[in-house]
Amino acid sequence: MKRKLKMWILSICILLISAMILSFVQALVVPKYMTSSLEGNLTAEYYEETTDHDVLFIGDCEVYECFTPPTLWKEYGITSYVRGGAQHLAWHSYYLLEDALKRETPKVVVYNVLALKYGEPQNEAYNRMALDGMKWSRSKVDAIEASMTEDESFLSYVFPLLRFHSRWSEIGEEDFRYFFDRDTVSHNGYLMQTGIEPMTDTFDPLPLTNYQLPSTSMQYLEKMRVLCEKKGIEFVLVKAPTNTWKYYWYDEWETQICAYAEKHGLDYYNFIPLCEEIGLDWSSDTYDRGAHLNVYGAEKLTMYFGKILSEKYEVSDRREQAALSAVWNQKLVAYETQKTQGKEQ
Amino acid sequence: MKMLKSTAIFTILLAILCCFTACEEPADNGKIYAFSHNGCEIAVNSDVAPILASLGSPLRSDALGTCGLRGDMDKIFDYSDFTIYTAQIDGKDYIDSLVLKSDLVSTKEGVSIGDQDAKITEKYGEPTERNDNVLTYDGSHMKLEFHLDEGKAVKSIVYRYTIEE
Repeated sequence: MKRKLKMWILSICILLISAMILSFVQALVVPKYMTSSLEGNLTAEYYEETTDHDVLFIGDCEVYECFTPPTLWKEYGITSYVRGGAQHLAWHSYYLLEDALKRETPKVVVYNVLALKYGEPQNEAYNRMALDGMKWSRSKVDAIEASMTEDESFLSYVFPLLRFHSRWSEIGEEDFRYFFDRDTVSHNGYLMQTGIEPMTDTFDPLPLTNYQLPSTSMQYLEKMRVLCEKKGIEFVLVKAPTNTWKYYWYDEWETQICAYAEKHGLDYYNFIPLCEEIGLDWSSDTYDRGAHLNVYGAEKLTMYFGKILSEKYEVSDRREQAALSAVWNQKLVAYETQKTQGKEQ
Repeated sequence: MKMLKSTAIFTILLAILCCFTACEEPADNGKIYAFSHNGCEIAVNSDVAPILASLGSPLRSDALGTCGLRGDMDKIFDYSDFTIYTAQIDGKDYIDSLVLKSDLVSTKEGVSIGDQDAKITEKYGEPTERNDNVLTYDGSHMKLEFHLDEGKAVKSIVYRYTIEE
């Protein structure tokens, strides 16, 4: 009897020690996204929020490079969060929205439509950046199942060590420095870019064989709409003002989105033809030759759209609320500091 | 003792699973459609550097990054009769797509902008796929596409790299 008990204790000890070692190794080898691909931190940062938001932005790079929550607060007193990420496909956005709506009920959800062009999972690296930071829930399980490319396995999301063990040889200073904790990289989901690299020319985009937006992504768009409708949230569609040969918004897609919006009584704002009205200057408002807006361009767009949010959707000005103001004023200081540092560099 | 053995085996198996997770290479059917210009062969998925050296400077070019994956630049090289689109892998630019846009050039098989769809099938046979405006011919990790206007005349020709067969 004693011998059996000993064996049990020894087995449990071995299991615990193995689990500890594996957890340690796993924490060491997973990418930290601190010096490059900062986007890999966006999903997890949302959970650090201590206050709710009246506006939630979802979508791909065109949301986290275009809308700045600190500006919305400063100019309109609107609380917001950008729950977007690099190449967030429609199913990423849906499940991240579902996840967010379990925690809060914003007044308006704004979805950027560019990613609707993708009907299938594209790239494991983007899946990892979108999903690894998500807290475990039914939404995360469903998101993984919807997102996996052919070579991926569900188990590798449960045990990222299975996927990242090969990074063992690449372990560097960053992996030790951010072993326990990571820096905050965004401003309520907005990833600031202060550089300026002008767009000097326009080029023809690649012709496509099929201009029909995929049924899979459109189904997820519909799921987002229904989810918002059930919760009494205004669901608004937007297309960011950027439109380069690489990230091109085809007229045929525009027609389909307009038809969808009209069918369901949704508002849709395509900012591409509104660049002049917004005040965008492609010689100074982009950091990568027109593919994305820099902070100066993002602020102009946010100012423009903030007016719409404030006037048309009557999103409240909450600057009078002392506790909320204290939180947001801190965010504003961090935002302005990074902007000033970026300008000086 | 049995439990101790099972625990040890489980731990070893988990470690082995970690070490031997690998990817499979896709199959290849070997057929490639390429475009030739002034003796320079341009095929998708080839390194663009020697091709650019042979073609000379483009009229215009541009390079755009990939969001979230800094360093990977997609590029466009615009010549008077065709445009080359490239994607970067490990710092090297590979041709992702090639678009013929003028009737001054033609495919190796002799189809050019303005030709009717009948000429395409005469030269290439039946396409792998045909929709209202595009005739597609599958090759090895690539597709050759003839985009037609309303009058069924070729308005652009696209050589496109594809990952799947």
